[in-house]
Amino acid sequence: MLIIKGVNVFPSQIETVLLNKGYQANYLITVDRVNNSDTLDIDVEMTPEMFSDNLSVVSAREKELVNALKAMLGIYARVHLVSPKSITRSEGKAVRVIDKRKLI
Amino acid sequence: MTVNQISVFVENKSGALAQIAGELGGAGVNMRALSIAETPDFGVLRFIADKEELAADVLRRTGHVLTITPVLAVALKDEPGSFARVMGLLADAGIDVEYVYTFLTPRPGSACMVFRVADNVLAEKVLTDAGVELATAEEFD
Repeated sequence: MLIIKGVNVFPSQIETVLLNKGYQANYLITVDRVNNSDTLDIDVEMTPEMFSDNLSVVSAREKELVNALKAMLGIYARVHLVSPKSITRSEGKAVRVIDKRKLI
Repeated sequence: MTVNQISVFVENKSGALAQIAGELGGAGVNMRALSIAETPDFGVLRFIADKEELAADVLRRTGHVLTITPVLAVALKDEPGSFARVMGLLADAGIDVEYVYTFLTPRPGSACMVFRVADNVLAEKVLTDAGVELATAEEFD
């Protein structure tokens, strides 16, 4: 569990949002602190279900994802669509979270 | 008489497009028509290959996400006004155009353009009735 902007965030919540939308996507959470404020960035791998030749359709789906994540997490996350298979798959437990904040 | 266009997702990251180009070139695929559409967050590479199945296969095996869209390949007379004429014909028939892009032609004297329209069947009829020539898939091989 992470505490971001004072809110409890479980990586599994992101997984739930993606699966509810029908996207079998890998994701990577990056948490940082900029100007004393927590930031949350989520890399989401593109999937065939998300993709379309029509750019506005893809952008709309990306936006729906952002809204669904906000509804689930309670905070706003920046979503970045990345290449499929670009998020490192490690042996054993998948690396889902990178926390760059230097917390004591 | 449509031609198949492959659309691939391109991440907004340095080298992403170069990688796709390398995969296709390495497999011996020749892109005959090509265009990139972009949003602030990502891009879509649209192209017509000489070897469509090989291109799609290579990209899927390297993990890319793609779709295949039937488009019209119009062989315009290479002179001022010919594009306006085709756009006029489509507009008068109420056919929406999503995008167009040009490409090299094997036909001397023609300027070729890919048209992605809302209604391929009607557009083909409207254009061929007006004497506008369409290129076939075989011409891309």
